[in-house]
Amino acid sequence: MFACVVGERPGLVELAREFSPLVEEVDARTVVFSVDGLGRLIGDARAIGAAIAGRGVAARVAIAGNPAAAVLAAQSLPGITIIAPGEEARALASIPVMALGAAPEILLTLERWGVRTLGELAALPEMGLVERWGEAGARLRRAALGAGDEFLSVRRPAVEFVQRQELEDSVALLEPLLFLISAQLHDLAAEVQRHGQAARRVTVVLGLEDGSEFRRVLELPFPMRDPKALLKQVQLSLEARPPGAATVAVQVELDAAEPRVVQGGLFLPAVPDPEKLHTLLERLRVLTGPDRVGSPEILDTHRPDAYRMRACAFAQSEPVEEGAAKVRLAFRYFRPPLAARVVMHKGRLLRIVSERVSGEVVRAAGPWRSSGEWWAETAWRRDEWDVVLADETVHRIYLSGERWFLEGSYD
Amino acid sequence: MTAAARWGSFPVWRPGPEVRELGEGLAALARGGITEVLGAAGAGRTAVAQGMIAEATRRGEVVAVIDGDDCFDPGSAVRAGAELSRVLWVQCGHRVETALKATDMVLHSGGFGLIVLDLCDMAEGALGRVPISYWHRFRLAVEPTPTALLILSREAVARSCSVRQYALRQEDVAWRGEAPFQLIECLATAAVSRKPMGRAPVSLVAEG
Repeated sequence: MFACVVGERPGLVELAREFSPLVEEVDARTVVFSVDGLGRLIGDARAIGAAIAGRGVAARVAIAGNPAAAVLAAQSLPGITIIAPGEEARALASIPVMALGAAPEILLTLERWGVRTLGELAALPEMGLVERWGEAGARLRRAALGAGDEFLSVRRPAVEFVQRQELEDSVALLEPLLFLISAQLHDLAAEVQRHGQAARRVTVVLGLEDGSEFRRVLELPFPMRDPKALLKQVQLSLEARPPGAATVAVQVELDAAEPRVVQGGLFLPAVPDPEKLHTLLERLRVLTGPDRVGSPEILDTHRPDAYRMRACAFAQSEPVEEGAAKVRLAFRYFRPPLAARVVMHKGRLLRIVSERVSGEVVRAAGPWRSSGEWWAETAWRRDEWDVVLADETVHRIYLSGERWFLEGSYD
Repeated sequence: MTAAARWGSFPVWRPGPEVRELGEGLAALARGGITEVLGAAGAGRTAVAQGMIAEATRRGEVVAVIDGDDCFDPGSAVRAGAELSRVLWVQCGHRVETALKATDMVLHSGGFGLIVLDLCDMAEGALGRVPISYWHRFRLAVEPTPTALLILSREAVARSCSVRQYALRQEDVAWRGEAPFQLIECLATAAVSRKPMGRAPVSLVAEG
């Protein structure tokens, strides 16, 4: 059995939760919830209805065998309405068809037919309604009969996943602090998992000895539940930027979200586990620097060596079923380009001297002139040469303004 | 010859029919082992690695490039056929120690089909000071996995810890077009397999 309550907020949802954990908010003034199992606690349906109405929040209460009939009755009939199983059609027969909330053109047609109540609508042949309005017609007739097989769309109550611990003695070192955070993270991760959710944000709040508060918020790329992975994120973050004073209170908070659902392929190549990959990327960023790790992306420009690093996200994928790609000669960049001194005679390149590469020029091709982005600060204009040095290495050099640079080598 | 023609005709690597191992792409690498590709600048080490990266990413695998000297060219990788979205690029800022630490992290993280450790332009002295225990650690880490660890350098660094080892040597650079606007026509190199796995030495020709 389901009860529907129509009334004014606030307090409507809280009223429903006093009777059942399975509560659906239909609209701003209506909630419907299951009252199964309340018989032994309160009494029959009439007693349950009276108990609900007795709370003083609900203006109208209806109890029926399915949520749709309960909602229709509560929204249209005054006081407390109890509909016994099998009596839905009769109980709802006097309700105007407007209460169904059907499309305006359907309501207009029903009005032209002289159909004004749910009882009159229910008396129409089902096939005729289906022929005219399709599935919507059948649905309207079922609603008019008070026959519904819908499930409640239950919204979980918001749960806070927070743990706070006041310390008797201050903690100055990171290792014992992480030990405390680890214990809290394990408890909270288990709690999050019990609610069928995962953490998408970790907030660590440390009360410091000097009275200030240290707050660190870690946004995760996807919801996680593994406490070890979460702890590693916290550890790397605190190691990179530790609190400025000893800690006297530790609070960890997890923001929950629906867990990630991934369907892996049994016969597809393995990819890095997302939790491990995220930890790996954080560790690599700590090791090398924030902008030195990622997947390269070539920028849409003719500017040489134009790329940017973007975040990595590897998913399993099918192999590309194309023919074998041609293996081409590769280029190796000197980053940044090496400043060079070039000896020329009558327009011929004779010798290159730089910090790392020097030698007689055996052969040179160029200049290849290029320029671009004159409208921006990234404008470039240069003359390039491909040169073979005496040691048989092949390099690319360029002249930008009055200065020579060694850009890289072919390998 | 125009600049556009130059951009559109980046030299192509065409392994000759006599190539038996390196020409087979990923099959030349030891899964669960260390493979070294050695040679001087211009010998084609990077081209071999880019070909491996392209093949691995096209097979749906994820590749990590540990770039010791920040020299990786994404453009070359794309020209070779690689999907950059399946490449993790770690720039190590010309530091050997950083490159080795990053390799260790990536190896232990797991899930990568190919890891390329590029030490080509590292100072020989710095590489020589790397204790052999590092390479043993890498060997043990990669052994139980389907990952191939490919090391590019001038001289052998992993020594006894590598399973396969190829030494490349440039033989000739040929050009086409009228001087001075010429293009690289052919870059021929010879490859010798020092740990041939029961096969005869091989040779390799790169052309444009």
